[in-house]
Amino acid sequence: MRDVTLPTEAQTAARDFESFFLAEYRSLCQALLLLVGDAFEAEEIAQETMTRILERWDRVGAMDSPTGYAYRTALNLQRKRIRRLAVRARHRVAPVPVDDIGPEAGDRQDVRRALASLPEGQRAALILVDWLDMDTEEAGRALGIEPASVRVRLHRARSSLRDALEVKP
Amino acid sequence: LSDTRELLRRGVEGFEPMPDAFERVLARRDRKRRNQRITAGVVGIAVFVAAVWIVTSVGSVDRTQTPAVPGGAETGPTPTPPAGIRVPYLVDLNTGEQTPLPTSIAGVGGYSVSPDGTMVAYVSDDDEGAGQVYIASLDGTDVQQVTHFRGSGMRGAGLPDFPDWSPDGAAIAYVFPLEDPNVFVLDLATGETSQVTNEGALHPRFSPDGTSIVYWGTRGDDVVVRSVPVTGGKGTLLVGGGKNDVHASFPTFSPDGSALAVRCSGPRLRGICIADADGTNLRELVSVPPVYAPEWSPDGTRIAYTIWADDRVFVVDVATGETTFVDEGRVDDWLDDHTLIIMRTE
Repeated sequence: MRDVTLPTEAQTAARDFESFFLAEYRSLCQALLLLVGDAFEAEEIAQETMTRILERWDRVGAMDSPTGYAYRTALNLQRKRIRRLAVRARHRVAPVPVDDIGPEAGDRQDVRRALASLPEGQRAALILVDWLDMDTEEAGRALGIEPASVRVRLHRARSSLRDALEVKP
Repeated sequence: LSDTRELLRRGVEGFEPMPDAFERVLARRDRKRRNQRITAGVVGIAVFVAAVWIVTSVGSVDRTQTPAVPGGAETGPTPTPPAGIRVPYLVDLNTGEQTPLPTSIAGVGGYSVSPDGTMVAYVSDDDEGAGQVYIASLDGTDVQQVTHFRGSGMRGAGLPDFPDWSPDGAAIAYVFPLEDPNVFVLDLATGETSQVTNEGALHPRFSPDGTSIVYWGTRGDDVVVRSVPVTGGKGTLLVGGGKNDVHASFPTFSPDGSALAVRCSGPRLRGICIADADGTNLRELVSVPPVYAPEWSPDGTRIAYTIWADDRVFVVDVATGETTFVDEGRVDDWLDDHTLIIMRTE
């Protein structure tokens, strides 16, 4: 047994990650819900994203935009999930249905269905820009494409979404 | 853009992240670490066994000799557990002596000492790899599996956890399943189990008089500590939420039942907080990074806790707030006033 002073660096790091988590987790979950259309899957990806960030927090915490890193990680995990689902589909194993009940369930499901009908790249661009308020530069970095390509995807996604939900521009 | 945003907002309406998401991330990080260490240990052992086999094969010219068989009688000393596994130790605060618990009761954690100090309840994997609650004598004998759940949860960790002995030693409280946890109480004499909570509850701890159980759960966006009669019913809010402008978790009563220690996190209070038994008069005992379950010493003078970020165990003096580093690992419970049960990583 020995007396020690509590390490300031460890304290700061731990607090910083918790603050980051509290500030970002909800938005990350919501963005992923819009992206994948399934609350359980969305939170699963968000949990894994945050776990990976925690494991690398000494490096991620020092980045200019830990938030951007979080979304890049989440999008990568989402792509892996799609590949996994494709394999699952080939093996004819049906995903477990998720109940969605409540007064606004129909409305909510319409939006999620319309989002699901968009190509993945368009859906991601729409969520990063219109939901998370990223500019096209940031969204381009997260998606690994040029800002101009983000704008094109965005335009098409907005139009398709409005058409699918029969909303007049 | 505002139209699109409104459409998207409708898509997330009604969705709330899990209230204990932060704790789940910590647990997931720990599971990954543990699995990585186990993998490294298994690979290391495999390499070692292969090397021994090669040396034995090449070095031996007598083909009539019986080859060494792993697990056989001539394989040398008893193998030690793979590196990186958490192993329960008794750590003496006075002498610094560290004594591993007998291997027959080396579980994965959640150790809780019986009121008479002769037994432990803990979580360990059964033969099928599913976590269960066990009780056993501290000398490693009389091991009894007291829960018999089957299957793994949706997140691979759905079985019982956080066992706690009742003050009379006749019952054990635990939570099950971890995805949608509630507190259950198991009567050790009859084997009967009763559900105590109905609203999501973690980390149950009996009150010293045995009439109620404190636990933590959620209330809207807040993490709060509640109390419920041991016979079941609706929980009463004790600490947290709008009541104190703080998130509160991991409650535990002082041995005399006059006070409650909790992990607290909020704009004014952060670390380990103490409240009166009814949840009033909440004050910060020590400001530290997020901690795992604080545990009160049997004499009520100190509280042991673990800093989750780096798995280091400290003891804080309740009267002075002075902290003392004890060991690396995670503290589960006090065996007596100078001995802790700590899960150390090997």
